[in-house]
Amino acid sequence: MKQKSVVSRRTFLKGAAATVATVSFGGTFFDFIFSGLSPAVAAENSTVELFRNACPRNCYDTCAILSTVQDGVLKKVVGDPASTYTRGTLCAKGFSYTRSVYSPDRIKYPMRQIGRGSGNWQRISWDEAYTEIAQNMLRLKREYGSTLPICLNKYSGNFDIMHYGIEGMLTSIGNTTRATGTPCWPAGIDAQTFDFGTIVCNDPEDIVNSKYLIIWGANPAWCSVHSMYFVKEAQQRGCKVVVIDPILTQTASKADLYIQIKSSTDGALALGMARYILDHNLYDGEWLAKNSKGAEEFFSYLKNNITLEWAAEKTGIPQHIIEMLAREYATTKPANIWIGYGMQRHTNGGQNVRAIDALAAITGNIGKSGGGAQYAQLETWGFKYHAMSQSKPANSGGKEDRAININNFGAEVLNAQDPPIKMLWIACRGPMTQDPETAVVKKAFEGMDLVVTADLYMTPTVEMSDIVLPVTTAFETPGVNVSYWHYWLSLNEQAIKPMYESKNDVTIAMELSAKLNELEQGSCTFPTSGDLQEWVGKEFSEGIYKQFGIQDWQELKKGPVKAKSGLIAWQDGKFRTPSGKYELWSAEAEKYGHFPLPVYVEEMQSTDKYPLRCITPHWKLSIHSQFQNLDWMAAVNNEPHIEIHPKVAAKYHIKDNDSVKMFNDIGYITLPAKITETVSPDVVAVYETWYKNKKFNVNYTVKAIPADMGKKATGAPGIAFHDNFVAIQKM
Amino acid sequence: MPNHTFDRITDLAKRYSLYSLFKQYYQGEWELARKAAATIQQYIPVNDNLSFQQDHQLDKAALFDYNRLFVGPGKLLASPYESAYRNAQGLVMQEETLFVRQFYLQAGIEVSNKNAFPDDHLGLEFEFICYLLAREGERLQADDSSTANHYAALYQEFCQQHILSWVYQHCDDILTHGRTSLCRDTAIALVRFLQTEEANFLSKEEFV
Repeated sequence: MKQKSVVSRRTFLKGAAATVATVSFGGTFFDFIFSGLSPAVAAENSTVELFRNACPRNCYDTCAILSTVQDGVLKKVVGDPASTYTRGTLCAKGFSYTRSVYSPDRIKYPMRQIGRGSGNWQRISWDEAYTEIAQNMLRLKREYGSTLPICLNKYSGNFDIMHYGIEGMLTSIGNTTRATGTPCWPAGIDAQTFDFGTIVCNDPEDIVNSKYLIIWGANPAWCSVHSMYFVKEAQQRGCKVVVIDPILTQTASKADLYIQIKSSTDGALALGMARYILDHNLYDGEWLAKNSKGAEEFFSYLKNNITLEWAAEKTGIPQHIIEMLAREYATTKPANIWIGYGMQRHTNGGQNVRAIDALAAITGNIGKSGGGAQYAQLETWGFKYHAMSQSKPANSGGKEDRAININNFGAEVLNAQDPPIKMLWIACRGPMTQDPETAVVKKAFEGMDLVVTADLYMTPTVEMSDIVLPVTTAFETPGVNVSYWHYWLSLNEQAIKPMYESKNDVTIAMELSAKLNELEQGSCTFPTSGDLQEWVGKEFSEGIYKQFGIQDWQELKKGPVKAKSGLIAWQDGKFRTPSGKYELWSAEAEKYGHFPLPVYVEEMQSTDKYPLRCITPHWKLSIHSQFQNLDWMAAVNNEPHIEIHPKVAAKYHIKDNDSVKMFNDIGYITLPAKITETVSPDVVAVYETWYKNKKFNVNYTVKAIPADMGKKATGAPGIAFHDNFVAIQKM
Repeated sequence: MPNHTFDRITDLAKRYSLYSLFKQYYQGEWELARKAAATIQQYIPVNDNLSFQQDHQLDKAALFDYNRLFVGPGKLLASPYESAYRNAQGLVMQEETLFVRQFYLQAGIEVSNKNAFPDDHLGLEFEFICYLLAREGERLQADDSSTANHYAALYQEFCQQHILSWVYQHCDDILTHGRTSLCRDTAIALVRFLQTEEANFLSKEEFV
């Protein structure tokens, strides 16, 4: 491992034996007391056990996992064959879980940093951590008359249902400030909420019944690998697969047809297709009459405002391809569209999703096996949220929780007044790498009295914290998981002991509550003890039991189960819109400041100064800031790149692997170029992820520009991550 | 008690006390570094090629240094786990850790909170050595030289198979990344002490 030793060994050995005799000695003999070791209990036979786990990451697949544990050590993880979605395999990220649990980089103990960002850390006991945190909470409450100066920023690092106990912990101390919203998918959620009433997708296993499938702005070959089985199976059964994306993705490489579209113009393509479908009487008038509201207005809009020529011009797609796509989509039944999250991260993203939804509606593909406009579903999330549902202590001040926009977190923290925000609790989140406008986020952190972060690894967010609390991995704690895509329910069993001094976030809440009550009786309502397994059981509702056809949650120890009904979205034709119909015309949309119809909203344009759109899609070896830091991932790739089309590269005289500075008015990154025709000439692509020990952070250049939608369903609009305009320069 | 047994016990007790200091140091009692370094000075030749400062501040800087090297929360700059050096990717709880567990078991010992704390932490490995040396001493005092020799052999085997296979590299890392004389000199002291142990093994082999 090491080439050169600073310790010269052999030269010293010559005289060493003689040296020993010169050591003076006056201590006691052999006063041995065990501290970390102890006499072994009777030698056990080696045991191999299997546990059921669930991947809790913010990912479509939420895999059911089978874990092999030998003598208390996690040896192997595989996909659980009992799930017909996971089908016995994991993705590269999932297979690396043994590396995550046993990574040498795990945070092992609670620690306190003396000087935020100084790197000067002190190990403290859990009790010291709780004391310091509790004292600060109580002091802030005294000083400001409420606990509103305490702000929680928690989101998608762990989607285990019991992890909502973190929100419960904050509730249990009083009214607090909450980073509200979701960064990555709200525009699409609102779009479907206006159209359908909420988000519901077909069971992805139903894709096999599609005869035509458009994967629009999604890259399941990287981001939902288990869905690819169903895509391939559909293809083998005669389904034509079309991928529409500004990037020729790995998914696109498996498609029958790949269409490279100018980023953010998806709505123009959808509306162009709709116009063609209208002009050629390929729409399903019967379905529209029975199930929709506003078809006439929509068709009138198409006739008056949309032409195929315009759509071709806008999208960069030849008109005859749009016509072919429209004809094939409208005439092949059933036809399915998978609407990805990438294409809605724009200032017109929600409108674009509505336009695509409209295609599915006018062709009568909604409510049908093999059809649909798939975005996501939260139908299987009807838990009790027992850990989350805490009451507020009496007389703790303030009227209600204060919501600040998670998608402009830094600025909102800095702007909060009456009272200001003085303490942050960060869990399941990495704002310092994942939020836009990193410099502003950092400034917000700098203004705090106390920043507490619960995490697994040292991240740039932990670097900016005062106290770090080591948390458990999914294998070290019980839980329960469902997906926002498929319809399986998986128990997560505790497979191994928590490593080092790590604790589950709910245990942390219980113990902190004990400390708060010790310092000020009645200051926290969170239960101070409880068995985590029992708490998992308490998350289950009658609705969940009924939906999944089980009597008791413990049945899940035998394996994951799939929902018994509701697998085809909107099959009953009962839409959850105000009219109960599919709403091409949505008064609700209008109420939220949008056009009532799915019209085209102009995409954001580049400027002379910043002529290129930088899109920052998900990376195959990570999910946001997770996984890329592990050894196996680093072994595959440990270097971010900027992907540039050859024409663009030629213009800037950039060759493969040249160092390129990508910048705009808020920041820059420098990274090697990868010249590739897989990206369209109007964009450069840099995959968003966190590499440990690298100064790379793609969000240095991303502004907190809101997407058009998201406020209605999630409380805040999303971020237009892909409306990031930059300039590049060869270094 | 024959003289040579008395000498052996005396020598053993000295080595035991040193291991005990290093054990405590690695188990978190970083304040013992100064004592360890001071005690070990007598192992340091006057013209040592490693610069030994002798000016050991027990201050916050030393504590922060200690934590950066051995505790966290960041990537450990001189990981105190054997597997950090012997496992290809430095992961804990792999076969390298389990070999150490097997060795402990041979002597009827295990980690108290097994599977929560990796068996191959240097503080635990030194504790194991302390245990072996204490048992050796105890058997010697009881005139049971055969059992005492058994423990001595176990110690030598453990030291050669495990400690000497990685702790020099670990100390290299301390000297590369350590910022304070306290942590650096403790590493020098540890190296020099282990070298005398290694030399003793060699001289014993020559004698045989």
